[in-house]
Amino acid sequence: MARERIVIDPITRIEGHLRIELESEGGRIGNAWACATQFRGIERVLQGRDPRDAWAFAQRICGVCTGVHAIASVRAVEDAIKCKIPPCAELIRSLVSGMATLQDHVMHFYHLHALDWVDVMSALKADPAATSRLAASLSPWPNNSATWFREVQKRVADSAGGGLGIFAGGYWGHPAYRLPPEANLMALAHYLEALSWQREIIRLHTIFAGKNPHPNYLVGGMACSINLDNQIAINRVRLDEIAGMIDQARRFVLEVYYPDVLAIASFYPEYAAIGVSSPTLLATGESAYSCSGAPAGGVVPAGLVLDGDYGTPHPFDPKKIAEFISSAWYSQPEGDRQGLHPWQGRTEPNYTGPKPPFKELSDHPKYTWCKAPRYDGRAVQVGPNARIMVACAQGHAETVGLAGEGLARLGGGVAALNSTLGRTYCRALESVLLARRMDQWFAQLNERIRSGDVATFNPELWEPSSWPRQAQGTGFMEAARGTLSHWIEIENGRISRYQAVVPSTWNSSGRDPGGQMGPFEQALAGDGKHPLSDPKRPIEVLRTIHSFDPCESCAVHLLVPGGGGVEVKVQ
Amino acid sequence: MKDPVEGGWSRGETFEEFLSRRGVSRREFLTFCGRMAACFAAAAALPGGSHALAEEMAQKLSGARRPSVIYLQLQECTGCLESLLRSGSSPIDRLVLEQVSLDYNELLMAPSGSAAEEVLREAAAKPHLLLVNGSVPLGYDGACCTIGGDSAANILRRAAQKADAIMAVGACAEYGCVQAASPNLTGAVGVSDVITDRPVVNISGCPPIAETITATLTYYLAYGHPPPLDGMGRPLFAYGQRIHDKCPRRASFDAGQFAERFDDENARRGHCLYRLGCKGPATFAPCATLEWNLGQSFPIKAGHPCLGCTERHFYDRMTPFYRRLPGFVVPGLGVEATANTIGAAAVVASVGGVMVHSAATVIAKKRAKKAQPETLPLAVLGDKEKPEEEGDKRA
Amino acid sequence: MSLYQIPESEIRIELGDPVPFAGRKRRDLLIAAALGAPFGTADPVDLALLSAASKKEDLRHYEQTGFTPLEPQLARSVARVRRVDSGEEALIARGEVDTILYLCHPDEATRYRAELQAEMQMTHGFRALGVGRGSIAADGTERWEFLGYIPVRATRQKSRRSEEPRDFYYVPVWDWQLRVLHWLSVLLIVILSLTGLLMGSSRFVYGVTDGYSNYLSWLRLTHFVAGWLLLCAAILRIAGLFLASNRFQRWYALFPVRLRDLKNLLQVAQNYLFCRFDRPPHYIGHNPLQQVAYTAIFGVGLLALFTGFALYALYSPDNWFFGYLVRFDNLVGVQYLRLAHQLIMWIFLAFIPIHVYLSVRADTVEREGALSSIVSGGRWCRKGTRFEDADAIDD
Repeated sequence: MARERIVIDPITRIEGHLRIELESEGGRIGNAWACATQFRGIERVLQGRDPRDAWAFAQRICGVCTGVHAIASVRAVEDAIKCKIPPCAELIRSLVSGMATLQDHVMHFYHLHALDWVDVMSALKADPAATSRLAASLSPWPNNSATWFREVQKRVADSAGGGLGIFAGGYWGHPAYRLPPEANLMALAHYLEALSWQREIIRLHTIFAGKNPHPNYLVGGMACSINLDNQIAINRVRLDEIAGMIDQARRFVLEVYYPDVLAIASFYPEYAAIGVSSPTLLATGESAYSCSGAPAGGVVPAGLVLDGDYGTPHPFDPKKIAEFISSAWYSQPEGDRQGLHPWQGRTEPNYTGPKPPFKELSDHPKYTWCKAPRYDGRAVQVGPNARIMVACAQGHAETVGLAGEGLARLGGGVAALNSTLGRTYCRALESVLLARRMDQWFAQLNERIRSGDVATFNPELWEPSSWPRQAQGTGFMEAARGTLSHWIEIENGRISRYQAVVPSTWNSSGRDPGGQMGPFEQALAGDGKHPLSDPKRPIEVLRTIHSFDPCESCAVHLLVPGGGGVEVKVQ
Repeated sequence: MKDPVEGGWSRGETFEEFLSRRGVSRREFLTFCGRMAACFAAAAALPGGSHALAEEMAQKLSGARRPSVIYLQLQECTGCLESLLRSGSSPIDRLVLEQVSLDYNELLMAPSGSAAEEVLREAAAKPHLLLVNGSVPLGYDGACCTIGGDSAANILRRAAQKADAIMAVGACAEYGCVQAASPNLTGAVGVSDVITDRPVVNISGCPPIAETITATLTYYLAYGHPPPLDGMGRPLFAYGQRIHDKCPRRASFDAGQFAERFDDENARRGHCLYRLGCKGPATFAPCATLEWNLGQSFPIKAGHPCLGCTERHFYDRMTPFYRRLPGFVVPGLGVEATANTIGAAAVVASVGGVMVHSAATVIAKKRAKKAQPETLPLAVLGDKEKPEEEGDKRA
Repeated sequence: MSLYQIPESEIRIELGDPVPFAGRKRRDLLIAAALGAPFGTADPVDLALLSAASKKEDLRHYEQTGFTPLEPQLARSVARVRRVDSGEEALIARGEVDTILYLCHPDEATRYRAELQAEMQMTHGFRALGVGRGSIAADGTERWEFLGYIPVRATRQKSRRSEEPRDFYYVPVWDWQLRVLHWLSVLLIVILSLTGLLMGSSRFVYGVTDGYSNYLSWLRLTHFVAGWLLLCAAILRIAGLFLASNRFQRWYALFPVRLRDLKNLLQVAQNYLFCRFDRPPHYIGHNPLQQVAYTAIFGVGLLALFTGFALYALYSPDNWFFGYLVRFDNLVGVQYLRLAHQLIMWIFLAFIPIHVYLSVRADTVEREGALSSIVSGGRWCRKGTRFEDADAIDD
């Protein structure tokens, strides 16, 4: 049977622009190329700017994982100038990034991922009463009445009469959709509920950081002042509102999101073996846990599991990171085969691909804007499943317990987490852990305020005149999509070098000089068993790609060309 | 002047009436419905196959009253669309299910790849509203942002051809935002730089407040024309006044009560953030009135100075964000000087120069007095430099 | 008459203290030296001696009966004088000291002393004019006596300027309207700078207000009112450029118009630079350097007004006029406009010391009367000075 060449562009329901090129043979994928087709050059823009402004630039790398780049950025600056921030500011940052991750995971599942599993058209045929019974059997969520599901059904049906809108052109009726109509209707209802839920709970960002998307951060702390006796500062009214939002967030995760994922997963058990990607996974701690400098502390320390040995944790050494450009449209004086540590990166954009409009990119060794970071020569998967697997390898009791429960229901070992379904499941599992963590952080914040420690900003190192003339810093962050790090060099109060190593860069990278595929490519074509029944309607591919929650605006970045002779300084 | 309403689909006419007014025949319409039906033919095990389905769809669609919207995402971060999802005045579910037919949007739409491109082609061929997120990179032949193998510029031009109205949502679509900040490696420009022959409504901000996006859209749907705009093409209802003019901290500004640094005594009292670099006095935006995220708060209220994100090229012109005015790097010294330092230095230099010059004047004056004057020959002593004049003297 | 083509007014004759010998009085020596001058002399030294002597003695008591002019070989002149009342006759010889000594044959001590003293004391261009007196005996023999010598110096006058009122004439230069505008602008610029600095820096402001006050509002109001007034002043001044009858105030007085003025511009600059205050060119109105400098500072002032009002316009962008200014704001970026506005203020503040200094200097050192002219409106011009712009002024 002849190999068929398939191009999927655009991959929708992701952040940014991704193109997947495939070779398929007999309903299986033989080869795959992930092409990031957007480039913006933000790191270069940062050069020469005030480091205190950097977060606002870096934040615009991505508006979906909004905030994580800002935190990594302020962390990098704080690491460089050795600024310690007050405990309240740390707690507020954790609450803000925790809420962002919760919102991100839920929205990813319902709005970006669910339509791969849920057939909207089938939902219109469901029996609302049966749906109500199904939902009630899964969770105590109050919106489980037949009336409610009937209303949702009618609403979507009426809407479809006036144009299918976002549902137009979907692969409805594809045999790969296996949910019964009732489950489809329940998921559709939750799709709509999650839309209202997300805009309510994200107001936590607005209170602490002014707005969302793109909340405000600050080098040295947070800009919101706590003053229980003032109208405009963080007072009891705001804290009550935040308590309500955390409550609302936790409830939705525990009663809707997590049960939905488990329920839907149980209809697609084979996906626990499909989409197996790179067997090396990296995490620098818990989600929303942030640190400057080399990641060390936290409840779950940084670490890796290597080469499919998921039971043994290995320590993380930032020195072993190298980025390759053999498949990316850049050039560097060292040549294409040389991998460079972020402190040495000196690459320039050098587009050698075909002039748009084009038909194919993968017929050329360079086919993406995304560079290929490797850890000790290995392609690395990052993200929720990496965090859960690293935590399990380290024996973190809470994670092991919860993951065990879920895996028991889905049937499979820890290895199953490295799969299309595993990634999606880990996202939900992590949300449960994070919802618990939010409560703890908020309680700690209240305790601080009660003891009178309300400082949210450390003014000592605010003025650039108090900084060393030259400084280097890194900020690590476990973003929703995985390990994020920003690397900054400051000279005379200005940025002289800035770079970001982003989760989606790890995941959506192309081939390195050794021909090793990136995690996306491995998940699709690593074992030659990934199904693709109908090349015109590549829903199986979308499931696997979406399980990574790609964020392509993040993935593509440009290292800043700097002067020669930069010393590698990594703790 | 051409009536902006003309050509739009907004007066409550049915889709069929509208199509016939636009010169689309029933036959063409059926063909279109047939293609649409093919998209989910497999789903419907209807008797009569896809033809019957097409008929049924045509029946439904011709009665539809939801205008088609193409929402492109070009070179951007998706923050603007995320913002749209937070709208409280037109919640996104109501917007996409009841108010418009969001025919193409990469973040939300179900299909990918060729199916998505097909949807875009269909939607672009009929009248629609075009909303654009993201800038258009013109460098590298447009390779810095390609969708379906084609450049952002081409996609935008095609989608704009039959658009009834074009709305550039967010700073990227307006002028390029962060990627267009110096040095603008990708040659990013805004929508109105590519679509030059049509009016473009700019909904400014990085990102804009959700409600300004949805309200601009529903304004058009309700009245058939875009809202009145300011000089930068921004709707007046949102961008007619400065944040400063409606700021809750304005009274502190007027009173001269300023936070000197973050989280100091004055900041905790809610005093003005102007000294911390707040750009509110130069920023036209509805933040202080609409506020963000269901009217919860906005940056200045939450203690952080405004970045001025609704103003053009704010990454170049509003930076440094934490200073009122940009500083100057003194070459060689590696220190930064403010305008006041430089000005004071100029005054000192001027006074110094005056002092030096007056001292020089005094010295010159004294020296002139003391200086050996040019002595002249004395006729009485018989000096004879000019003999011809001796005669005169004798006379 | 001119000696060696030097204008008479520039020749300066200085007489030192007469050094009498042989028990004579200085007075006698002086009178003798004066009497030794030829009758009707025009030699400046002679005139100086005559003038000095006439204060001691009425020279009309003498008449000259003969005069032997100085001959190169003898190097002395001899006058024969007769006292009118007594009829006593005498010979007066003048010349180099050694010549006269040779004539008089004094004793060795006198001769030695006279030669030595004359040699030692004659410094700084002074030279000794020896005087001898010869009495004529009945037999017609002449008996000579050495009277002494007088130090004489002839120099080229440089700084001797008469300050007598009669040497000047009054010229009205600046109309009262212009002077009012000038001082009004001074006041306004000071107010604007002060309020501007205070508004920009809460360091001064902070601490003034604890509770609620309108401190900054008042500052701003003052600033704005002053700004409007300065705009009025600028408009009036511009109108004056075309309406004023005073030619020093019309538009062509803004910059050098003639080629000569351009050359003079360099000359004036050199004079300022090297502290020369005795050389032309002279102008009644502004000299070319002043024209250029004042026109430039006027332009800077207009720029300050423009940037100021462009910032002010943000307050009301829907105003038809301010709307244009707001567009300009968007073009440049408000922050950079504010920076420019502040730097312009510093240009003014740096200009003031230089301006005041040069004006005061012109009044006190150069006696040009520039400072008083901006108060009284007119200036005193020295008679005989050639003014480059004086074509219409009668000397």
